[in-house]
Amino acid sequence: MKKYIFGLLFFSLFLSGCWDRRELNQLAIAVAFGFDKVDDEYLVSAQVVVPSEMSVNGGTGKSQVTLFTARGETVYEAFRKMTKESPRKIYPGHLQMLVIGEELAEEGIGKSLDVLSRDPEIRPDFYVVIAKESAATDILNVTTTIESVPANKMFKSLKVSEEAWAGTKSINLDELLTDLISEGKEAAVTGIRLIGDPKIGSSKQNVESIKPAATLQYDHLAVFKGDKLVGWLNENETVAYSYISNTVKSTARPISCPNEGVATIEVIKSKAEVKGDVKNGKPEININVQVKGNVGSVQCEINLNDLETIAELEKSFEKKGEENGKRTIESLQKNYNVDIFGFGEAIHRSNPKEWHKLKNNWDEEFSELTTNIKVDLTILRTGTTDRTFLEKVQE
Amino acid sequence: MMQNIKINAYQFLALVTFFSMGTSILIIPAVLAEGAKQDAWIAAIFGTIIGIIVIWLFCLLAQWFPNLTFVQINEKILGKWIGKAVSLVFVFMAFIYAASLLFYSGTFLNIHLMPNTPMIALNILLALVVVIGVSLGLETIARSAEIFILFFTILFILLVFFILPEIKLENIQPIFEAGPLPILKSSASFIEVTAVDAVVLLMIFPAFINNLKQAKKSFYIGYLIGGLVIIILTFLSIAVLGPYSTAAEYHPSYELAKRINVGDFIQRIEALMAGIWILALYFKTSLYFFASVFGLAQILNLKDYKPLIVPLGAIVVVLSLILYPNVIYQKQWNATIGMYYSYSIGVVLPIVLIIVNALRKTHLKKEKAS
Amino acid sequence: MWFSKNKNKKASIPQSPLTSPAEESKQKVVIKLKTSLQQNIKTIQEALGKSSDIVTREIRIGKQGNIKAGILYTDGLTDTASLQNFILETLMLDLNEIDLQEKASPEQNLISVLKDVALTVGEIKEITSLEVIITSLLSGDTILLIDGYAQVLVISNKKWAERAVSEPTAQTVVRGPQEGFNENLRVNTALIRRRIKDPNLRIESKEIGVRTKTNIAIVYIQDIANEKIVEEVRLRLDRIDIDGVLEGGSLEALIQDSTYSPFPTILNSERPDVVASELLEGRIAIVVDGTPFVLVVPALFVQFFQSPEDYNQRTIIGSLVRFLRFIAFGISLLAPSVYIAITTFHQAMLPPSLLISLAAQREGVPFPAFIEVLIMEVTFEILREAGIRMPRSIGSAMSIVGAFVIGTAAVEAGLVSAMMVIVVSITAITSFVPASYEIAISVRIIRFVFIALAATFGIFGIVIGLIALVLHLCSLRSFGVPYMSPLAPFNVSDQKDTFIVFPIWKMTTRPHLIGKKNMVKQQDSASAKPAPPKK
Repeated sequence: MKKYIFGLLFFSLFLSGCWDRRELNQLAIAVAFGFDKVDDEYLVSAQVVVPSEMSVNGGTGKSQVTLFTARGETVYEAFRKMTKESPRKIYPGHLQMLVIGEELAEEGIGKSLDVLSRDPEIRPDFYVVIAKESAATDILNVTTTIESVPANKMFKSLKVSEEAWAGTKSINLDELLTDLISEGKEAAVTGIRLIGDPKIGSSKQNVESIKPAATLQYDHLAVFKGDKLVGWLNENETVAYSYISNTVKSTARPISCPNEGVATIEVIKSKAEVKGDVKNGKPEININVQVKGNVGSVQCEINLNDLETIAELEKSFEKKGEENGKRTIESLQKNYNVDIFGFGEAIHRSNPKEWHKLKNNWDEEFSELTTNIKVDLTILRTGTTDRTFLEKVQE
Repeated sequence: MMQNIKINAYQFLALVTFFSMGTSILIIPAVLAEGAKQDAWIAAIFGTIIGIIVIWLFCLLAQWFPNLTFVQINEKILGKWIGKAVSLVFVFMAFIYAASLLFYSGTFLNIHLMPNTPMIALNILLALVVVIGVSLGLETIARSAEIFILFFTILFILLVFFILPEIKLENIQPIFEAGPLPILKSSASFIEVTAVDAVVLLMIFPAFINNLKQAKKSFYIGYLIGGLVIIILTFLSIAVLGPYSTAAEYHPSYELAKRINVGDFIQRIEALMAGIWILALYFKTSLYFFASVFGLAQILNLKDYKPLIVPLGAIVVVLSLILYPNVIYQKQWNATIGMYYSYSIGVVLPIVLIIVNALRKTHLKKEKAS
Repeated sequence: MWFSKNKNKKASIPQSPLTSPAEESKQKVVIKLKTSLQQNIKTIQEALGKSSDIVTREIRIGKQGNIKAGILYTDGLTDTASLQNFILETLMLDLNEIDLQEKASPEQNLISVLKDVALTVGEIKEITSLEVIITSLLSGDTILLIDGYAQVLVISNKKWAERAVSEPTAQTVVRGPQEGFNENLRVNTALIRRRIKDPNLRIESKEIGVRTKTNIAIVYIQDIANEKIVEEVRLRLDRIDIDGVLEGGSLEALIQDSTYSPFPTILNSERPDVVASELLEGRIAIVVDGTPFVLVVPALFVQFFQSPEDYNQRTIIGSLVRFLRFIAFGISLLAPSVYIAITTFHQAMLPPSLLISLAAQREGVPFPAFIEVLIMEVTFEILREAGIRMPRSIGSAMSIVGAFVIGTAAVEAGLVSAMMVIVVSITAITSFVPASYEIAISVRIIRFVFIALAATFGIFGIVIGLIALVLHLCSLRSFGVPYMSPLAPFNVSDQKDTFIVFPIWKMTTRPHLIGKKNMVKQQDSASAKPAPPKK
């Protein structure tokens, strides 16, 4: 008898159960969040997919995503408040993008990010971008082509452009938080811009034309001091940043030919070594970038069969790279005084004892830091041909 | 009492391995990183080495009394009443820790997987299989440990393999920055969880072992495997998450599993990994629970320990709910009272027993001689 | 027809009262026959309630037919041709000229003389006990009574209509012998004996069932099988006190270790080659008359995944197939529950695109996933059961209805999501993969427990379920041998035939807990390794 009573009790466990059960059609799957600051309150917007429009049979032709917004004193409060508008609870487990408005970024992003590092459902592998010259809500309000879910478009184009074009630099929440707490490194986050007419951009009409009226484009790199946005790096500086922070996978760089005209080097591999050193109490950074590349295009009359030409091309690339790197570092030292490269960390790794003396006024030390940058390119191949038909083109 | 049940050396190895890594895989990387920062993995190595001495202590004690459990050894060396009193303290420790492990698993699940499920339901379910296991007997537990250690090994190797690409070696540099003292200090709790608490294994070692010599070897090897798993996990946590996140997370190894992403295809498998943590936790809980039930039966001179299982099982669930009011309290309790309790039962008591026993022996010899 | 001869030789061992004194003592009152023929016939007839299938024939034999005799047999169970040719003809014609009374002496009475000199039938016994006589009569033997003697001759010439040895239907293989057991005990033991011509092959007989008196045989190889297990088998069989055993299954239920476990602890096979190979490993077979399925003990968990084909195929293929079976077992056990756990608890485990596509499928489905799975699983179980019971000609109609109802219509009607159909179909297909039907059935039940656990606790529930399942499996024993061996207790050399199949020349030992007595199968694997001759 006792056994049966225990059994009944046990099964009652099942009956009252299913506390955490959520059916797939009870979820509002959020793919992108936008954080803005409006009148001391956070304005949180969530781009949520509409599953019925995503089905294989094709939907009814309505938009595949929708945008919910809510305001709150804290981000978390706003999340929950969103159910006032949304019929389903926001599910952030598959978040792909977080867009932070420029205004909020200038005030500081740290406070709004805490909830994201605390919530168990959020996976910290989504990209964070800063909306340049606009609010995050506006960015999330633009329809896109090819990828009909705008968050997917943002995610993929950031990923692809980082891999194929070093002028953008992706950063996910995890890396961002690491940079924010690090003593010897500051954060840098890619900017995103809305180009065109935001009004048409938010309608379906936008993607019905061949050239959309409004598009989203990655541009510039936001530089942070602490958790506050202090400025933007332009594209060339971003490239230098990518090289030094060792995230270049592949890119194309134009260089000048020995005589005149230009050629392009297709970088296929780049490895940067940043070594810190302390000499006479003064920190010093040595950067050595090893690049492997191919000749991607030639727009001048040169003889690629000549080893010397290859050497000259290499030298040209190296010189340009070194100059660009130096300029970028100097501009950061002068204009912002922010160590986004992690030079402090490099010194921490190489000279932990000296670092403890330096770290308290690292900003000042950074502005006077001596850096030596050396780029070394090895050209491996020249494409499918070893000459250029431009030689034969009659004037 | 079921003295005729014997488990073999390999089964004991599986049990020891599960025991020494049981809770540690979830929380120890955080505890180590708190004090030793990026040198946490060195602290784990230190801890493992020092822990061997503790295991050696247990083996020394065990080989003198190859047929007795720890409770019986207490009575034999310290006399009936003192022995029983000391055993009671020991059994209470095992019992508290069984409840504490239920709390761990409940908390873990509440935090990461099922925030709305009441902890009592989770704990009842886990306690239920613990009770089933213990009532089916040590032999059954040992055999299932043998099977699950295969599962565990395969999944663990996969985890390590998949997480390798995420390693950033910068995270562990500079090596040995903290200096030996903080490293040693932070390894104290590591030793406690992996080696000192293994004193409860003296309830089955050597009384239920069929080959003492081999089982002694398995004790060391099992402990070392457990230690190695923790060292690897700590290293990976530091190298992937960085020292700050490792220390800040409650369960860094779970965060670690979240980072797995091989070619955008093998990803999001952390719930699977949670499964293997639960597995390890289950065996550790079962061993604690078995030690407390069986120990209590021996203290009370009961013929069979089985009638105690269900009532104690019910109590352990209740205890797991009231033991700690919240996670922060539990963290602090472990670092203070829990630590002293463990060390006094797991290190001081065996040393006392060994000394008393040695004194007695020489005393007896002298008496005989005179 | 060599085996029918064989059958005649051995058939009446179980009826022999002389071989087993234990049986003698069990018969509390041994009714002895009288000397009068009329009275004896009457006694027997009355004992049988004058059943219409008992044929009684009174004859006169000897010189001038001076000796009265009676013949009794059961119509339909006795070979009437041999009755006429070797019994009636001998007694009534050939013996006409011989004075039988003269041949008889104080040492050897008339009955013995008939037995030793006259009757040209293989197996004849002198019996006095009425009970034994009746049992023999009912098993198809012919009874010869002679007036003036309190003994009878029991002449074994059974023959009845039976199924020929034919292809096994339940356990088929592509490559391997196509011979299966049939319902006759003797044919079955002969099929085994034919494969193992070892003097150590022992066939012990027993009679089970107070009323049915079913013959069974315990078959084992004496110098391999563990005596303790053989003794345990005998003990368990002796303990049975039931009116009837009609099938091996009910005997299995009477001697198995654990009734309430969903897992079988006794293996059955209708393939003589399988039984022979199990015997060679040291196991014990129990052949039950009237059943084409031979029971084999002790049975281990991994055995239910071993098919004879694993060894008949190339090693690599055999290993792959064996491993596949374990995987399929896991899938059929866990697929629906994992699906529930992931889609209703751990959506984070799904890749984003899959999540969205699943969510799109679920839009408009009225039931929670748990109910959806239950509906589909139960529907499938019903279809399967219906498919088995139905006449074969309707079977195809069945599958069409099933495929349409479950597959297409339910999805189109929006009752279930398409993914659910896929999950249930995969579960169904994989459940047919394990080599044994029994293990597939046990999985069917456990699957529902896992579904319930997953619907309440997600992955945690599944892990708890797995722990409980493994605990249960580890607590099982089959005739004293741990069910999960050689996984737990772990044994290295037995792994050669567990998850993967090693080359046969590498399997040098028998399973260590079963063939304990005589471990070595082949001496040296190095010399056994096939290789081209060295120059």
